[in-house]
Amino acid sequence: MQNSRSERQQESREKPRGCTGFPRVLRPGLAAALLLLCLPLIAAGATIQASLDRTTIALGERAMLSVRVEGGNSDRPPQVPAVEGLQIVSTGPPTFLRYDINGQSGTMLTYNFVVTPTQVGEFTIPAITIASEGQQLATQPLKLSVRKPGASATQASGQELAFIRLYAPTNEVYVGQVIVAEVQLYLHNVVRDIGNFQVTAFSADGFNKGKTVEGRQSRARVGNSIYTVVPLYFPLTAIKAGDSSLGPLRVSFAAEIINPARRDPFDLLGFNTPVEQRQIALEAEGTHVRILPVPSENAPPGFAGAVGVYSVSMSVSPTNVAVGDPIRVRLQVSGRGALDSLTLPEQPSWKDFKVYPPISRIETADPLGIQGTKFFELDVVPEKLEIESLPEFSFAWFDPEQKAFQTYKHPAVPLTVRPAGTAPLLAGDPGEKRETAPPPRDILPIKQRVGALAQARPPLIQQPWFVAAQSVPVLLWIGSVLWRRRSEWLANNPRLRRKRQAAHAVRRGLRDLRTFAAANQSEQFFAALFRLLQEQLGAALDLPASSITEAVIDEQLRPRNVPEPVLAGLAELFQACNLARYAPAHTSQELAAYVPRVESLLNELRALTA
Amino acid sequence: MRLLSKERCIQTGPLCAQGRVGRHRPRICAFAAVAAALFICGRAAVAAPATDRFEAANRLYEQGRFKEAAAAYQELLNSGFTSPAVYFNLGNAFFKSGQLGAAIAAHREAQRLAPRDPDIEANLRFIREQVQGPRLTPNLIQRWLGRLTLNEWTLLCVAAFWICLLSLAALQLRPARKTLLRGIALAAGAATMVLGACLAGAWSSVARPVAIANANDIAVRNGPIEESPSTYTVHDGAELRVLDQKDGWLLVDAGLRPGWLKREDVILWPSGRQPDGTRASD
Repeated sequence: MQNSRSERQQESREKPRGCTGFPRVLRPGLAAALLLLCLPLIAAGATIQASLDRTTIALGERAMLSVRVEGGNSDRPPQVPAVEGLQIVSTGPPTFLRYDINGQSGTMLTYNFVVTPTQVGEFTIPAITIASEGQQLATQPLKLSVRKPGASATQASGQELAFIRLYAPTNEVYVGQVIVAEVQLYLHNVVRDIGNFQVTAFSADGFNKGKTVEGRQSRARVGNSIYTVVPLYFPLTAIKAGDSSLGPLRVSFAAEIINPARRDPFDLLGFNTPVEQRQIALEAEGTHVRILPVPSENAPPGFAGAVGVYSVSMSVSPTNVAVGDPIRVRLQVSGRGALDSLTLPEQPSWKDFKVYPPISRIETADPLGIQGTKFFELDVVPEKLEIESLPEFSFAWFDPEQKAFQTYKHPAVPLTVRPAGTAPLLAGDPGEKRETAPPPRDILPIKQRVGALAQARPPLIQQPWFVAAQSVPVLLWIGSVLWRRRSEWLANNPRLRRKRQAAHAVRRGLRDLRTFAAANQSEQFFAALFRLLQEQLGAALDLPASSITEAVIDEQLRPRNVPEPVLAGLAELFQACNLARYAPAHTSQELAAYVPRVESLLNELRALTA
Repeated sequence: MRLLSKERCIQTGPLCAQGRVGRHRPRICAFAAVAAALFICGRAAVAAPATDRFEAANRLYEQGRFKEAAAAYQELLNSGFTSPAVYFNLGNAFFKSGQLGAAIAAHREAQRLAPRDPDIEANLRFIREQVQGPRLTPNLIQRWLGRLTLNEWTLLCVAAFWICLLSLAALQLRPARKTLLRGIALAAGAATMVLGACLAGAWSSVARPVAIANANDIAVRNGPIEESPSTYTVHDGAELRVLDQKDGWLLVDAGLRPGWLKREDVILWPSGRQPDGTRASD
């Protein structure tokens, strides 16, 4: 007890830590400045959410209450109602956050409060309200369990490296009720990190276990030591009546512990923190829980086994339909309970309607998946013209907190049912209240012009000719690359280029020879013949064409063992050219007779040089 | 002779340096004119009866004989002619005769041919609003890709591809223009890749068929057998993504959970496409 008091005194001394440096008188001003800063950024739709870092604490510990206001426009901090047995104190000005995620921007203000219990018990922090743009926003009430210190485990002294505590929210549950068991893992300040955390055993007979969720870490003082508290939540659904126990629970993990005794002697400046690895196994004692059956007496007719704390709303549209047309019934069940297994009861009074199986989806509001909204959509089809209303709808559930059945009843909805195939009354329909602009009442009329008629063909990408046509630019590109390469190759090989030019000149010269022979132009004929011989011999001997004369036969060709008939033929041609300069008169036939001889000689020369 | 040819070449322009084209030019022009006239007349001659049939179907529609009008439009389409207006009117006729699924299929086909036609968009939206139960909603990317037809995406992509390769070819022939041509080739290459991705997206959205419920109260079952329990029910006009097929059953999904329904209860869109994405004619 003495120890507990000293802890509280210590905590009370620690309280102002959150607002150190800000005089009390300046705090409202600072808060107002923060709010003014975010005013132009705030979107119209504001939301408020409150959360506790732990739902179960021991007397002498503290919990952190966070109130998060997203968007909106508020110039006053939220009002936290007083709760007997709890001291709720603000930690100072709110933290302001402006975010821009995936193009969505907004602002968020978080107010933090320290909750210190003064007695053991179950507490409900009522809805916290805040005024924003003329609206009063409110949070959901929050529950906090305060246990005696050491109620579920051996009293911790503050010397332990780690210990765990298991809290069951209640000792009595009903079949179908969802409760959340909380395990608090206390890690001493010297534990730097943990890994390979495993729940090795958790006995929970009569319960279905849900997904385990880790809560927000907090700090707590135990004895003279500061511990990091890691809460773990186990959602449990009671499935079988009888006496049961939650726990014992065993966990194991590897811890990195700061051990100054293992400091490296060479680490004089203390850069490396000395740590040692240790495997730790912990156990929390179990608690007895009694699972009660849902009372069968006084169960309302619409009860289909739903257990939880719910609120229900329903809408029906359209209400002006033809026989056989569907009417969509939308039902929202919000609250806390086993939303997954929630089903809609049959409605015996809807016997004149064909009822289709509902489609449902769940939007959870917490990571445990036990708080949220389940949306049902079902189509009902009136099958008689005489129907005047959709009869009353009822949905019943058992509230384990009130320990009583609750029933939601939606009154009968008046309907206008007309014969099949008739159009609905659009004007002055009293049954339908139109809040938005009416949608177009009919499709647009048909088109009077047929437009461009075309033969039905597959898309271009599937037509072979189109795909084949795409090879044209590729071929052009490849051709251009080859052309470029060839040009560069020729540019780097002058001897070959000369041979090609000579071959080209020979082809052209032979053509000219035939032309001149046909035109009986003797002078031009022999001039062309001389040039032809010069070009071919120059290319073959790699000499300038202009330097080729008859003398080349003896000087260059004979030493190269050119056959004698070729040399004789060449000498004859050179002599004919020389003779023609002085006596150019030749007939056309004579000139034409030279052409095959020249051609044959040039071919032989080309073969020799090749 | 040579001078004469040269003169003629000068008279007829530089394109016919040898004089041959110039000599035949009047004949070529006359041939082209006759071919063009024949083509236009041929098209007009073929289109004329189709236009008459279209107008006859319109008259049936205006008289309130919607089923007969739908049959007339269908007959026109079966004869091999297609146009967005025919599909649009066919969709209207189906809608007026109470066949929401067929109406949606026809309007989707019209929209595929003319994706930016506001009338088709409005009618399709209106008809979809009449459909009860789950339905398939295209995402933002699909809607954006749907602004152009598949052929338009193809031509854009191919144009960029041609420009890219022709620039590369010109780069080989005219290295002096390297800076300009390389810039064009790079830009066109990047455009080809982007447009190719768009084309692939547009293709994938039409390659997988959509099943459009063509009857009321179609039970979607857990398995492809009659005895399998019904998971949920879809109504006439519900659009469902086809995931698989087996023995005349289709595995469909409408955003809730997959289930099986009979092939005969739905229209597959695009028409002629098999449930595995191939065309019937493939």
